[in-house]
Amino acid sequence: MKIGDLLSELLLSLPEDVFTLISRLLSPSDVCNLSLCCKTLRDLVDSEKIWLVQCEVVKVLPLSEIVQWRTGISSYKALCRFLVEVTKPLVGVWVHQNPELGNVVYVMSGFLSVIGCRIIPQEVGSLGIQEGRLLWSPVFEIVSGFDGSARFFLHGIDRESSYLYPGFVTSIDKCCNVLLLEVEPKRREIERTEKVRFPFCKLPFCDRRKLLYLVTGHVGLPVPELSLKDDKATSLERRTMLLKRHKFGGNWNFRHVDDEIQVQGTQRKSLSNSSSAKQQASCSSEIRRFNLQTFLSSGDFVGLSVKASKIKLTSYRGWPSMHETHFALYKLPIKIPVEENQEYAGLWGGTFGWPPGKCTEDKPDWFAYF
Amino acid sequence: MSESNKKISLISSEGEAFEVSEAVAREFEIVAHMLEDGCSGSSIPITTVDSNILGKVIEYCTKHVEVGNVEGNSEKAEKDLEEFDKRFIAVEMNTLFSLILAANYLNVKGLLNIGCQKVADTIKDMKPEEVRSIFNIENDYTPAEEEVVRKENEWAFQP
Repeated sequence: MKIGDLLSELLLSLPEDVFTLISRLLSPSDVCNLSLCCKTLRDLVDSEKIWLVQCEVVKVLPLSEIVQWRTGISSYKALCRFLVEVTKPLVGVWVHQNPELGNVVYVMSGFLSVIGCRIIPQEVGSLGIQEGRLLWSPVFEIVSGFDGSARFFLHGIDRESSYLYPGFVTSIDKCCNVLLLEVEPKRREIERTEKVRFPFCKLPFCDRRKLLYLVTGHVGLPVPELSLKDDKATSLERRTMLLKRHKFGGNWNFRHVDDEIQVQGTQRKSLSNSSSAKQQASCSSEIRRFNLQTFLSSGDFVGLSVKASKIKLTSYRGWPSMHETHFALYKLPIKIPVEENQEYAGLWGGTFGWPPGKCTEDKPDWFAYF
Repeated sequence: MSESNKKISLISSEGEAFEVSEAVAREFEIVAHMLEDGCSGSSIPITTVDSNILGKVIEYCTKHVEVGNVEGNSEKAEKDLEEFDKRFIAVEMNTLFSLILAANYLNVKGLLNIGCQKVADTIKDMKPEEVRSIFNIENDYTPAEEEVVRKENEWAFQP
């Protein structure tokens, strides 16, 4: 027993730099497991130094930016949480229906956030791509709160000006390949009673579309105007403003949704002529209404939400088979480059059908296209 | 290589002397610094390391100096060295920690690295209960406290 006691003491009495060296070889979940062993070990492990190392271990952000991000977040542990939960699974190339028309969303790190951007299909001017006049538009961003929690913002256009639609991040699977835009009923109180819920994805397409339109119509916020300076202070200011707006937007009473959708439902019903069709329509619309009510009744209010999950995808001509009626983005797998000249060969090959070796010949077309 | 024929005595905490060539002693960065600072004298006291561990550290350094001096088939030599490291570090936890502490103190980078790797491999992917039993750590959390910490750290685990 004496020897065993010594063992735990030995582990706890390792010099700090040696312990940091060991922690570099561990993952965030290993470090969390250590902190669950006992209080002394937790105090040793929950240090800024150890979690700074863990932020590096996640390998999604260079050290200089990790240090910069820390200015807007409570601790390196909170920062690591955002990197593990949000940045790592989402960063990459996502596509929507008709990717060949430019529906490709590139998700990358912003400042304490991840941003999804779409490059707008465009002719490149005579000055070429070097001038940096590439047209692009933001699609969504997920901003980290002070505690490392995630807030979602959908970007859009309303009455000719840019709008932001705040929402929730429901869940992000670490191996996600599909990003779903949904409407989610929420409860105001913190305790979450696990009720049998009617999932959003099981609602008929028209209801889902209507819900999304209605919710976005109510929660939209004009994009905060800021000076165009691209420096750290501006980024920090913008983020603070976003977080503040997220607090005040992002939800509203759902009863209106129920009414509005039902009104639209009755309008449609009166359009059908023959009696049998009428009966069928009214019967199915009853079920529809019931489903919608079940869906809505699981919360006090509804909000926009985003969910990244892993589903089994089939592919067609290199692209994932995309469901027409889903508000979804699909992640493209990026193969590990085999050789230097084959970097992203999987992606390019899959996209445009080029054999890896021929990339350079076709490159000019590709630039002209975007 | 004539200099490496010079012998140096390293004195363990028990006062036992270990005679090694200067090349081996220089693997201990702390000793190398002493020598560069003009610390003459052929015996150097290593007061915090006992004979058993000092002997092992010397064995490690000797092997690495030997292999470093051999020219030619380097690929095979490297493989041999890897095998040697693997066998060398397969020791009891107590010895492992003593080796790490000695390597840290004497600044033997290679040994420190394989030691830390070994500890990390022991901890990696282990549940808290398993880590507790490996290191004989007493759980001083109440179930409620443990649940709080578990909740706090939920994000780090799958899915």
